[in-house]
Amino acid sequence: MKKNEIELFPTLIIKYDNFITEQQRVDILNYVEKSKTKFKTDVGIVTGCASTTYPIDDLILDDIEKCVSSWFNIKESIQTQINSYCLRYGVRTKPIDNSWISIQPKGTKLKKHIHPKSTISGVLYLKKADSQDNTVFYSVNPYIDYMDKSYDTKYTIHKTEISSKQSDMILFPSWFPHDNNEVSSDEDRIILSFNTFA
Amino acid sequence: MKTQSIDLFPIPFFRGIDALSKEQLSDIIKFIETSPDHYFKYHPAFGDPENSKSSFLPQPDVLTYFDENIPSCKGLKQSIQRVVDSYCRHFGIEEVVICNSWVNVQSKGAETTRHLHGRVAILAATIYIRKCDDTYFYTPSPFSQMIPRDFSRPTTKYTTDPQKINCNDGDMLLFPAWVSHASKPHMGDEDRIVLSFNCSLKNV
Repeated sequence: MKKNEIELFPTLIIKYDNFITEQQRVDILNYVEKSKTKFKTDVGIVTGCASTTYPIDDLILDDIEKCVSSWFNIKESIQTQINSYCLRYGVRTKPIDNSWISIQPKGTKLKKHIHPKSTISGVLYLKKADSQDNTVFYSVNPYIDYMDKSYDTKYTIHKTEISSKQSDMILFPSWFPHDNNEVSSDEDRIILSFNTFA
Repeated sequence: MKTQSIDLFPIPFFRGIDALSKEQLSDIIKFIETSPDHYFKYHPAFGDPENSKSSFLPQPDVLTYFDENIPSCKGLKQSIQRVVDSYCRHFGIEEVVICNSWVNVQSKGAETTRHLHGRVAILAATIYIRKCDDTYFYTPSPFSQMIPRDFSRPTTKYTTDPQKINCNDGDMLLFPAWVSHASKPHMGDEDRIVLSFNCSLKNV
């Protein structure tokens, strides 16, 4: 008897290595430093003293395009990848909606959440320690723990983290629950997040 | 820029091609067609009383019964168990054993309503004796119907729900018992015959 393995109903994540250049990364961190007034510190979705531009300025990409010359067409660059993701995923193409920057110092942790009213979401890592503070995704399969597992495989785990480094970007369905492990490095974790219209 | 596509949390299926030989299929069909009436009973999951019958209740272990009564099927249960063992090892699941097995016979108009085998079973399987119609499998994701699918293009492996797996007579599909599945109303003149079985934990 010939045997085939078949995988049904996976969820698509696309990771883009070095989506921005090192110069763009330096420029955006300078912008963040100068824009501290846009950030609020009472962030319910993060434990500890994190800060974010959400929802004070949740169209931050528009402001960045105006203020940071090396980022003048960043929205179009991201949109191109979103369109490609949508085609591959099999959903209608959606334009970028809101966008915001979050800063997480050591010891903070982003709580598990989804992005309601959006179709595709993304994270661009502006500053993070390599191999740490990755985004963790959770299976929505309510039966996943029903199978008694003998060891971890991609079929038996109920959460997994996407290893990434600064300058990388990931795209994922907005309904996909995610969080991040507690920031363990002395450096802040700084990310730019965005949604698309539902 | 390097891009990497990552498929998270897929559900593992095993398709055994030609799990049953042509001789075994023919012998099983002959055996079923000449079986006495009390061998089968009506089961509401598989159609109406006038167009379906199942050995699920009266004969809860047809694989052993076939092993003992159909010469070409001697050792069949053991060989299927080996495939089950291989599935468990490969996908990282605790060892399970075949705990019950039954045959469904559906004539024109009968359909298998959507159901799953989870409760006692860890794995479930279907062997197509006379296939006729596909089995449709449904994602357990509660978000499946909320994504704005692009209806101008074919569905993808990320959006197809339910999904069918191409099989022929004699093929076997092995899958987690919690995956719900169904078949559309059978429209052929010949009866649709499938053999199904469940597996439960070996070490309980």
